[in-house]
Formats: sequence, C-alpha cells, structure tokens
Amino acid sequence: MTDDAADPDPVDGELIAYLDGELEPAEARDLEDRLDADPKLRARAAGLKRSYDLLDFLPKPEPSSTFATRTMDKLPVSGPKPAVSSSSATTMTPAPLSSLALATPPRRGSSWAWAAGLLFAAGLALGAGYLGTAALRTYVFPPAEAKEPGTDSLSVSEVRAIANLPLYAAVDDLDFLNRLATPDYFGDELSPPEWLLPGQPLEADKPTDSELQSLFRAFRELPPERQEKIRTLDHQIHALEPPKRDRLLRLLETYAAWLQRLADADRKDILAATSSSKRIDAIHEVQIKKWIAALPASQRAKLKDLPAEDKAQLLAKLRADEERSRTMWAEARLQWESLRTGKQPWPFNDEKMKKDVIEHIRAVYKQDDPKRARLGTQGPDGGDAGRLKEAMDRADKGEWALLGKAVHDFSRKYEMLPEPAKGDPLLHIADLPPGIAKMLENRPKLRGLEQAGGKWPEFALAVHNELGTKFLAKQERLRTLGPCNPDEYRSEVRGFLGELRKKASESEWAGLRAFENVWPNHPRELVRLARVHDLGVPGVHPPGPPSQWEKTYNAPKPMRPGG
Amino acid sequence: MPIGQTSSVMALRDPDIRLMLRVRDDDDAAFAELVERFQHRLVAVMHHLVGGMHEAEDLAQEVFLRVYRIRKKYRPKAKFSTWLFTIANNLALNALRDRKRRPTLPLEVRDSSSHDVRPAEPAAQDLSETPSAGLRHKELAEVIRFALDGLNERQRVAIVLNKFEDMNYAEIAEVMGLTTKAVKSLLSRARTSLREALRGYIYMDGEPPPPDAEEDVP
Repeated sequence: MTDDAADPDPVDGELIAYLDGELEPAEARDLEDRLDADPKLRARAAGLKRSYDLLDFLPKPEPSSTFATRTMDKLPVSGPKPAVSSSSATTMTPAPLSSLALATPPRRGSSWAWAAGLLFAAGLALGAGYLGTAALRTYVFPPAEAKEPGTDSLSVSEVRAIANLPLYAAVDDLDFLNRLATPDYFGDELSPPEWLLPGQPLEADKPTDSELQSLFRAFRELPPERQEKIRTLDHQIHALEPPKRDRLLRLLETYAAWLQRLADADRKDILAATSSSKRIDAIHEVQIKKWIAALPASQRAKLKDLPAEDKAQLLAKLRADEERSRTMWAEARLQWESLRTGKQPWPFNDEKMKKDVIEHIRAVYKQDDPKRARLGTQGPDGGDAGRLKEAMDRADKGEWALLGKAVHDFSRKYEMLPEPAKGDPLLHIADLPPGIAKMLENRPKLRGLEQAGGKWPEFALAVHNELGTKFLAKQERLRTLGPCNPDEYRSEVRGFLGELRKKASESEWAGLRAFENVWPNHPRELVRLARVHDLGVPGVHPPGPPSQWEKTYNAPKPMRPGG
Repeated sequence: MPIGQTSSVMALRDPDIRLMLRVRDDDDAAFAELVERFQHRLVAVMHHLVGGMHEAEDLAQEVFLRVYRIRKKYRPKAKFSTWLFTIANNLALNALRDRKRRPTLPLEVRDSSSHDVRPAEPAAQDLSETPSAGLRHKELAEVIRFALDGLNERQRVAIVLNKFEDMNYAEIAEVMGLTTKAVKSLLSRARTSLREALRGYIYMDGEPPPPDAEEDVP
C-alpha cells in the first residue's frame, strides 16, 4: 500500500490540481502557458488524466432489488412502515413472451389467451385514457373474492409494475420497446420531440385495490424470471429522463391498443413468438399485411402474382409514394382553411406578427449567412433548407400556411438556446478558451465538432458532449460555452425572466436558480419552464404562445393503413 | 421544529435538505424516499471502497440506519450529500481498518459477478473495438480494481469521492475532516500511484502514446 507520509511530487500535484479544476485562475493560466511550450509536460498531464479516466471502466454496481425494503425493515417499530421502491439492474436476456404464456393458469384457456386478456384490458381502457376508467377495469378485472395477502407488502415500484402489467404483457424488454419506437413501427405516432416535452410525468389512474389484487394474482402466477423481467423493464423505463420515459409510456399504450384491434390470429402470431426478434418480425409482417389489405383491389391483385423479390420492390415503392401523398394531403388540409375563408392562418393574419416571424426565422436559422446556416440541406428537394426556401417563396405569393408549418416543425426539430448578450456565441474551435482547446487536441474523433462548426447552439453542444459536464464543471468552464445566468442573456431574455418569475412556482424558480452558471442546463431549464407556462422565450421560440402554434400547425398525420 | 433563515434558504435550494428535514420530523415516508434516492450512490461508493457487494450493501444500510438514529440532531449546514458521505466515510474507514486488523479473504471483487453489477459506460475510446489490445473490459476492471486496492484507505476514499461523487477538494475535506491542502496531497499521491500501477494500460486502445509520454515521468 502507498502511504500518506511521502511528499507528493510538486509537478504532479500541480498538474492534478489543474486537471481537477482546483488551481487559481492565475496559476492555471501560468500552467497552461508552460503546457503550451513543453510537450513532455503535456505528456505527463495526459498520462495522469488517462490513468484516472481508466477508473470509468470499473463496474457500476446497483443495489439489489430488495435493498431498500430490507433497510426499511430494520427501522425501529413505530407504526406501519411506508413502502419503498425497489430497484433491479439485472442484465436483461431476451425474454420470450412464451414464458409468460406458459404460466397461464389452465382456467384462463389457451397458452396465449392470458396475455391477450391483459392486452384486451389495456386496449378497452385506452379509449378512456391511460389504463382507463374504473368501470372498465372492474369489468375486466373482477374484484378478488377475498383479500389475499401480498399487495400490502409490495414496494411502490412493484405496485407500479403490477398496475402496468397489461401494458407490459406483450413486451420483452427495453431493447424491444426501443425498436418499436422507431418510425418503421410506431415511432411516427409518438411526437412531440423529446427535448421539447415539459417534464411532467404521465399520470396514470391508480388501479383500485381489487383490480390490483387481480393483477397481483396474475403477476404471481408468472414464472419468477418473467416477473423479474417485468420489474426490471418497469424500473428501467421509470429511471429514464422524463421525456424519454413519457415517450415509451405513450408507445406502450399505442402498441397495446394496436394489438387489441388485431384479428385473433394475427395477435396470436405476435404473442406466441419465441424471441424478441421473432416478435418484431411478426409485428412487421402484420403491419405489412394490414397495409396491403388497405390497398386498392387492383394493386393487391398485382402484388399477389409477383415473385417475392419484385413484390418487395413494389411494396417499397408503394409505401414511399404513400408517404409523399400523406405529406401532400397534410399540407393541403392546412391550406384549405385559409383558401376557404380567404384569410391567412394565425399568426400571419397580423402584420406585426408576420414581421416578427420572418425576423425569428432570420435570427434563429441564419439562412442568409452560408457560414452559420443551421438547416439541413440533405434529402429530396434540398432538405429543410429547401423546404424553408419554398415556403418563403409561397409566402411571397400570399400563401403563408406552409411557412407556419415549417417554422413550427423546425422549432421542434432544431434545439435553440438563447445567445449571449455580448459578442458572437461560441461557433468554432478557434473560439474556445485555451484550456478546452488543449483538452480537445488529444481527441481523435472531432468530426461531430467540425460538422457543427459555425452553428449555434450545435457547436457548443458538441463540445459539451465531447468533454462531458463533469470535466467542464471541474474546470469551471461550463459557463464559457454559452450564457447561463441572467446577466449573460440579452435584455429581451432578461425581461422574459421577470415574466416567468411571476408564473413559476417557488420550487420551479428555485430549480432554475440552482442551474445558474451551468450551461446548457440553465437555458434548457428556462426553455422547459417557458413551455410549461405556455410562454415563448424571445430568440428561441417563434413569437406567440407555444400552445397556439401547436393548435394551428400540429394537425396529426393520418395513421398509416398498416398502423 | 423551526429552522433558521440561512437554513431556510439552503433548504429551498436543496431538495435533499428539505427531505431530510421531513425525516427529522419523523416522517417515515420521507426516509423511504431518502433511501430510494441515495441507495444507488451509496452502494456504488461503498462497493468502490470495499470491493464486495455484500459488504457494500451492509455498510450502505448501516449509513441509512445511522442517519435515521441521529435524525433529530440534523442541522442543515452544507449540502445534504456532504453530511451523508461524512457518515459513510467514518463507517467505511472503520470497516477497512477492521479488515486490516483481522486476517480475511482477499477483497471480494470476484463476488460482484453474482450481483447486480452492470458494466461501466464505455469510455470515449471503446476498448471492445480493438480486440488486438487483448484485454477485455472485465479483465481491465480487475486490473483497475487491484490498483485501487493498492491505495491506502484514506487515499481510496478521497479518490472515490472525487471520481465517482464528483466532489471538489473542499467538499472532500469536509467529509474526511481534513484541510483542503491535505486533500490535495492525498489525491496527488493517490493519482501518482494509480498512474504507476496502470501505466501499461493507458495507451492500449490503439492510439500511440505521445513521443515523450513515458520518458519524463519520475
């Protein structure tokens, strides 16, 4: 073992304090000058940093699922103990849903009927909201004849997992769920984008005691490994950041409702799949089948006679055509109202708002400046940049609806954060403080940074992602990436903060203050709170209340015939 | 029980302090929430310190029970986590010293495989991409574990708090009852030792070391 008595090497001590962000600014500058001039000193610093970074390879242990319960059990007795949530980080292995089906008690019929029953419950209830009304649930889960022991001793998270059992019944694991969240499956139906969602959790109706008893009995009849997988899935979902968690909860509902609407045979194919990937394949097949069934008879006949390879090609073409047609119809619907009434849609029915929106587009997307333009150019018709250009051309001819839709879509797709009050925002590697630039010198993968160069806030976010909050916070350099306290924002944002202060609760305001001097947390929290209170941050959101944009331009896409 | 003005301000800014004040007022549900909220961090820190999952959980549990026993004495003076880890530090150091006094099995890294241990997030350069390096994460983790076990108890605590709890020197000093200067020396010696122990693994991800990387290191 090493001992504390030996004097540490002073140069190492200084380098380590520098790497930890513990040197005084003057000392740090002095050391940076020396590092600049001395490659050996740089190598020594790199060795210290890299050996410390290796500690990241240590496993990150999680407490066992019973840890919290065991701890609470050891408290001195003083009345009933509150339940605690348990956690589990067991590595997931593919979980054949057949294991769930195998546990089916004989009285519930054939091997997949039990899961189907649960799904049916979820599906029935979906019409009335998350897990539905009490009346429906009572119908599906008749009250237990006698109160069984068990649920009282469940932890909070176990109760949650069991209450959500109808939604989890046909889900293998988190990977499976993430596959379903892609546009090929149900992803199109899960907007809005992750970073825009307010952090309010999706509130589920709590099942009544008797419903919970029924679900608990069903849960207990599953094999222990399937129970554990459901607990783990529930834990993993609820450990996610709120926007991701809510997106997956919406997906679970969508998927359960879709399954419930299927013909028995199709549903059986999906539930009886013996592995996660086979279940995904089965879902895909049913989606295609449903889509083909919705095609005109002539196209169906044509497909029927084709050899497999040609059939796949034609299917791909038909689906692409349909996608284009859906987009056109969505745009046409949007235009229809203004064509019918002869009035321009909000906010273009107001001259000042019209000008403000144009100014917003110019300020946020910088399309006039080729070095700073943010909109993508890849894809048919010049990508988003082409789309904006066309929408602007149409606006020039008096058709404003497409521009409104484009502005709304872009505001959801391209994250914007307030720019600093003074000078340009951080845009290039050359603008970085020397300390940060030096740390980036040793990194081989800087393509992301180069691609983001010239764009705000993309470039600063890329630097942040590359180096990580922890390092930057230690170096006290997070605030050099962008404005993150009221004094650093432009006057209109500072004015907006006063407006937000009046609407935000004490805890929301305290939460925002706690992020002061931490970029991008402070501006992101500011943007999030603004949305919660239906306010637009100047220079970030398009002018006008976010809810009005949502109402005017977020007409849902028609469902795919197969969806 | 009323709290002073400074404490009120701190409590407003730190939700953990608000929670602990509820625990102090005998709200057992708040204690359950506290366990829920801190169990991952405490168990992880204890595991990094003592190496074995059973012992880590026992120690983390003892920390929580001690928090409960002394809840009435709690006064918000600093971040709640600083107070919590002060208790954890005392218990962990006692356990490590006890272990040194009695002959025992080697540190039980090996038992971690039977527990809920998930692999670390891959670092910037994913070693699995370079099989030629010939060392898998698990083996590397064992080497690093061995290097960590080679530090004395106080160095190990300082390293774990700095690295995994992201504490600065002043916070570590408060937790360990040392001066900031002493923490600086402690960490300096510890990290120099780690560099020596891990010297062979620093440039194993396919990237060549800088020309003078190893020459000038004392």
